[in-house]
Amino acid sequence: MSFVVSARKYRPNRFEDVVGQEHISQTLKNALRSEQVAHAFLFCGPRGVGKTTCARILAKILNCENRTPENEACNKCSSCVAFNENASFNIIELDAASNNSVDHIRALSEQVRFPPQKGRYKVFIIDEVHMLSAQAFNAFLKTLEEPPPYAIFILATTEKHKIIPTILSRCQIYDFKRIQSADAVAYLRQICDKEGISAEEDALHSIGVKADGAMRDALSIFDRIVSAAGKNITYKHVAENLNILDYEYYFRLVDALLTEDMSSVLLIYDEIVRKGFDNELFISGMGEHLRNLLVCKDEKMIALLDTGEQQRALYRKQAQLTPTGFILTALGICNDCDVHYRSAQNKRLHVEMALIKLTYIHRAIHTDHFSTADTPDEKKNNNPQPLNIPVISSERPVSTTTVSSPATQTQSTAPAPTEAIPVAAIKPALKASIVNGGMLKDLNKVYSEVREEYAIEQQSESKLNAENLNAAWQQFMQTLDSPSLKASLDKAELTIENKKIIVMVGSKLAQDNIRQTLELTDYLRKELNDKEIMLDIQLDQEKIAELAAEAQQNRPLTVKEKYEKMVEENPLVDVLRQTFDLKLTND
Amino acid sequence: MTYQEIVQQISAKKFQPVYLLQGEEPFFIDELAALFEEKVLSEAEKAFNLTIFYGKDADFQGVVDTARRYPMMSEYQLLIIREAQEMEELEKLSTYVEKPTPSTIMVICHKRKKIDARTTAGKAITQKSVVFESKKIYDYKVADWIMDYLKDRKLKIKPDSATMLAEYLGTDLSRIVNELEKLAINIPEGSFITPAHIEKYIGISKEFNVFELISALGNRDISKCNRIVRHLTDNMKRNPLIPCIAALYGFFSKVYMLHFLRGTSPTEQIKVLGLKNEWALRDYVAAIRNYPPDRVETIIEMLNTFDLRAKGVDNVNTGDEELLRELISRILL
Repeated sequence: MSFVVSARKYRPNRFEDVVGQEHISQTLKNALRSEQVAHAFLFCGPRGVGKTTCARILAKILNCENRTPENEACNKCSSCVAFNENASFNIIELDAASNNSVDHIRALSEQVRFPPQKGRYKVFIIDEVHMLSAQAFNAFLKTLEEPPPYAIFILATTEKHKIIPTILSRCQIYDFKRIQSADAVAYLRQICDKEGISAEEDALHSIGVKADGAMRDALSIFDRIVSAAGKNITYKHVAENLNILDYEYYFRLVDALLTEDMSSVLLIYDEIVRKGFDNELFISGMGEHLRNLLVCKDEKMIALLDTGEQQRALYRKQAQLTPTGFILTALGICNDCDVHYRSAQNKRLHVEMALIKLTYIHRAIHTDHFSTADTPDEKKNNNPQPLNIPVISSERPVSTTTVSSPATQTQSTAPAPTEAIPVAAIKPALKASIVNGGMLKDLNKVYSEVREEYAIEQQSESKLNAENLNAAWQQFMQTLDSPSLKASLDKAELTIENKKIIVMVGSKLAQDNIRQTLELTDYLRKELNDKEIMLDIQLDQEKIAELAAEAQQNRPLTVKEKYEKMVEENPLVDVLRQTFDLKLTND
Repeated sequence: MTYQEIVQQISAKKFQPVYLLQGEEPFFIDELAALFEEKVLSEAEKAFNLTIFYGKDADFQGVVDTARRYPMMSEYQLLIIREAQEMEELEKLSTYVEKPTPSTIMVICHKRKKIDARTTAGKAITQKSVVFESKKIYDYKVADWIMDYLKDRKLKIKPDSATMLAEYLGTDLSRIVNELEKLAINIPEGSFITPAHIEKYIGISKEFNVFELISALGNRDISKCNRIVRHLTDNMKRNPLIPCIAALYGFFSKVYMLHFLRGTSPTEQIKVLGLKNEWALRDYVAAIRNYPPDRVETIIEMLNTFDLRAKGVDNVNTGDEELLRELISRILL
């Protein structure tokens, strides 16, 4: 048998098999079940997401003589068989891209006039309907508006905006979504099973990503790789065939960068160039890799990565090892390299220079504002690398204690607290001296001032613990005038989680009240000597219920309830009321 | 005449000879025309007495000839002119409208604009016929309209879900009806429409837009940011980056202003920030707790850099998806 491409061989035959468009197949099935089928449909969405496929499936089911209970076609009756052989008279497909004139539409309208020879419906599938000429659209309008009951039109298009509103308002419109890479991977996996092909998860994933939301593209890439690699597809095959640079290189590269191993960095780069990859592709890929690491810095964000499970684990591991400051500076260097690449005379040297800069990031001071606690704030007065990263080591007096050879220096070496001063701390101090004295006279003096300040800050450690917190909380309450706010604060339950104080409150009002008390956070930060304190005010559902129950018990009684209570205690009261025919009033 | 009055007239079988349905909102015009078509004549009578013209290829002579005819085995004959705004000789109809045939009901569907009542012919038509003006529904009324419509379909919806639909679908009623009909197919009569249904069948979710992203950022809800960013990057074409950065800038610049308004009353703050109400202030208040002033400065600087990069300055190959992901990670650092 001759070879049939997967995109045709595995074109879905049932709504169930359509990938990633559950919202549409479900709606269509329900419409079929309740016999509420519209007479004109418009399917729109990007290429390769299943518009024509769904149109054909729908056409087949409409004419099927004995539908299955799930409203799928039986594939056995004469209509289905005829359809499968492309010989059905009741389903007319028109490619509007090549039949776009008025005459073609007139011919179609002619056909609409005759009822189906067999079966209930005559289905007209018009593909690429946006290609119809303006006149053709107008000619089609009348047919579309008042079709005979047996005619059903299914229009499919990639460009909904090109269709005139008068047509749009006459159709039931279905928007097809792009196919998510995970869905594409699952479908490819099914095909692999059917064809007896074994494939690595990462391999299929790269295909899914490369296909960019179109199943047809995914399948044709898949075919290409199967014909190249045979029955056993690995990530390597895919990377080779699609000219993707293997992610492994980037992981190795970042590992080498972290250990400042310049020789292996350059060797890895050489290997990549030898494999024939474009320099630009490499640099932008490097940027992407670093960005992914940045995203992975937060455990919760890992889900954002559009990669296979295996790769994700690698990212998680490397992100933990890589300091944030490093990533940010590296990203900056990569972007610079990318921007200036075109104007560089010697491209290879340009990229290599960037790599060397990346290797020695640790030795430069990053003036990056985002540097957090885990950023190594080392700086050296020896400055071996020709960098354009801002280096302010000259502002510092010579210190001999921290100089160590680059080979033994890794990022894990903790800086001695007295020797390392964050740039951020220097800046305000410098500013202050400029304001006060107008000029910087003695750098040593400034340095010692900053050092003192820093030392004080370092000594005064965070006093955040339950005891101190409660004390500060109570103290803060004393300063307040508003009784309701006091009550809200008093009733709140506090728990400490890292630098976060979780405040559980019993009502929405209390939550809002506390939220609006902005001084509270500042006060706590000051009292507990910890700038990173954050408040997280949450609603306690149990407490809400409790308070509601309490309120229920204590609420004032109505006149009627008071009376009923009295009767309960002394039934004669009721007799009295009845005897004199008394009534309760509201006063 | 209002929509309801015309509906009542139709069901009471009290007809006027000429109806002019005009205005910007085509939906009501379509509805009324369909009602005329359905209710005026019985199925048998339609064979001889229903004539439909299309504005584009209807000529005045043909229309008037038909209108002057008497009904055949029926009390009335019905003549509908669709897309009348495209009819070139529409104004000549004024001669007919002045002295219409009483047994003919003429329905003129003049969509998207009104007949110019300043011309003599236009004046004649508008004065001598029953005019229904189909006005565009105001956007604040759309949610109510959706609820009414669904009530007719025997479905229930909570006001907040209706508002969400209204926000997303806009004021185009035919589009709204198209989506609501799809819901009606899927959901059994008498049940509640939940946001889950809306997300599944219409494919929108309030959760996934820039404004929700801003709110999540303000509250530092990392997992929510993460979900929204994922959705935005998957549909980058529908949510372009540059307006998104502009919206973020709008937010953080106000947060920065609010830092200097600490201690003033909420009313004052709302006024200075140009917000609508106290509700809108909440996200900002949350944000000033989470982002100290110098941090906000950094973020604004960052937004500037990313805005430039999104527009191609200092950026060659990085795509919008990548930029958005990096930007949000940086803001949340």
